[in-house]
Amino acid sequence: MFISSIVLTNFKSYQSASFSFSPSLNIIHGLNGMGKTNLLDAIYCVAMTKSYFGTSDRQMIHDGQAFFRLESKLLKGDEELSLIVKYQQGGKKTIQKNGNAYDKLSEHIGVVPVVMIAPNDLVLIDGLNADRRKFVDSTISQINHSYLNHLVLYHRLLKQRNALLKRFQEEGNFDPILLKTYDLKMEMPAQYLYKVRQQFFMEFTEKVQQQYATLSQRRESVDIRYVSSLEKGDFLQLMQDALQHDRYAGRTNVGPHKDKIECKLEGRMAKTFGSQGQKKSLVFAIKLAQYEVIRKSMSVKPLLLLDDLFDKLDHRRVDQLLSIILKGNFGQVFVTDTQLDRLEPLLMDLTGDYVEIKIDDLHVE
Amino acid sequence: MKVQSKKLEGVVNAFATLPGIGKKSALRIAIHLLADNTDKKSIFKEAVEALEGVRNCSCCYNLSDEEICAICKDPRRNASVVCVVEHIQDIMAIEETGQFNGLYHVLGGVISPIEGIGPDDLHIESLLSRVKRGNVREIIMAVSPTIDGETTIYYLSQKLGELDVSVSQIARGVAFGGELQYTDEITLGRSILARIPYAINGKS
Ligand SMILES: [Zn+2]
Repeated sequence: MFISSIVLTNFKSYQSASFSFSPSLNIIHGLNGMGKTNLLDAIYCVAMTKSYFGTSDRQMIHDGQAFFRLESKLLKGDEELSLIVKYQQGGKKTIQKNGNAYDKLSEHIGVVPVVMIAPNDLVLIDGLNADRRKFVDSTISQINHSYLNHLVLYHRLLKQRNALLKRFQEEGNFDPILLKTYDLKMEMPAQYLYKVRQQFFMEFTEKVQQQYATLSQRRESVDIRYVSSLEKGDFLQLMQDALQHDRYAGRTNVGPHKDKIECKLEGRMAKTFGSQGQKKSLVFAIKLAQYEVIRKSMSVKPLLLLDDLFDKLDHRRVDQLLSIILKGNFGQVFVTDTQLDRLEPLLMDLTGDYVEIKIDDLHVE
Repeated sequence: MKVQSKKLEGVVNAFATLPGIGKKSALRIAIHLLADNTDKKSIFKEAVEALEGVRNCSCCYNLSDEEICAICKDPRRNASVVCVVEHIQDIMAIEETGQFNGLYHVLGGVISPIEGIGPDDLHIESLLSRVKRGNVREIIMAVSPTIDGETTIYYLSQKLGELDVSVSQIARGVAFGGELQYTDEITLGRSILARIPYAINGKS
């Protein structure tokens, strides 16, 4: 699968620009600061319906304009895909696949599998469990559509349950049957999310360990553990046990939305004890494992978007990462870099074709 | 668009609050009425004033000119079956199908704590007392199968479970993505006829 072209209109720093891509390696370079990252984000948005960096739809519109539009052509096996993402300020974002708009944007997730690696991915180690859950959810959602539906259902019910607990607190009343209704409705999606996450980690942890072993010359052991409150028992029982706590706090304290994902190096928390270099290697290993899991279960090579991967790395590491990318069994790859000169010697050895895309002020207003 | 008359502006703003009417249409209607020299204005005035007389049926909350609506009063209808709907428009949609001969009960929405809508804000208590009074043998849930709609049905079923009444839900799988009133009448008619017993956690 590969994206052959994209046309950006009023998207972030672009007023109007169009690009054609190589099915294998695409090197995006040039001095312009945000242009390169924004092009990757446009590709990400076509695949995942939203910005990788959490930019709101409104903020993705070029300053002073009222809408943005991304129009792209892809080839998936023999199938030609035309994808158009449109957002008009104050309206609803729509995605058209071959001329037909989806009823729900979530239906598009998984049509264009993608893996992005960006500098802010260190939050996977340094950030909150919420950041790690988000990563896990977006990975599984791409390969399992039912998971995404259960996730949406669970979170809608959770929001309602929390609002209800707040209301009880404020009004000083309590309706056990209504609260129980939410518990009963949440049970099925909660158990489902737990089961699928558990299965995911059985495969995923091993893949991260393999990738990390290849990446790191050191021999330290790495472990990623999924820790859920649902291990301790049945969801309804846990909700029952937490009832007083929930009523006191005015929110729901157990369930898959509280699941933890622990990253450990040599048995110690990577967040606290890992060096910068170890953390970077671990993030890269996690992302390559994500790539592997998606590729294996969908039998499609995801788009691989690498933003500023080589930033602040020494020559030896750049060489190492680049050879992994170039020699690895990847499909279409996008790499941004400010310094083409350090990539060029390595690219000389490359047998396959590649495209250089220079982002300069012609592309950016 | 700047209207030079404060009075006209007031009329335009009032019309523009109506669903489906934007500022431009509102201005067109206002100017049309202003220029009209037949008795259109007074017909409108009387029609709007007559709305004051329209009220909710004290039994089912359908619209009615009297205390009890025409459906509830109709002796040919089967009073032992009550179809629970979200909105008054849903009654009109189901009546269009000609497939239902029972009575109705309008909830007035679905439970949604986020929007501050709890059971007390809906006509739930009155439904329970209707059932408690006897006569009602079956309740058909014709609430849209959204997440909040499903939660409301579940809640109602638990409340009704304590009473001597069977609960069913209109057939699913018929694609109606949201509101009953936008479903075509054949599909809607079929889904009422093919209703299925409602089960709480597998137990009917
Ligand atoms: Zn009535």
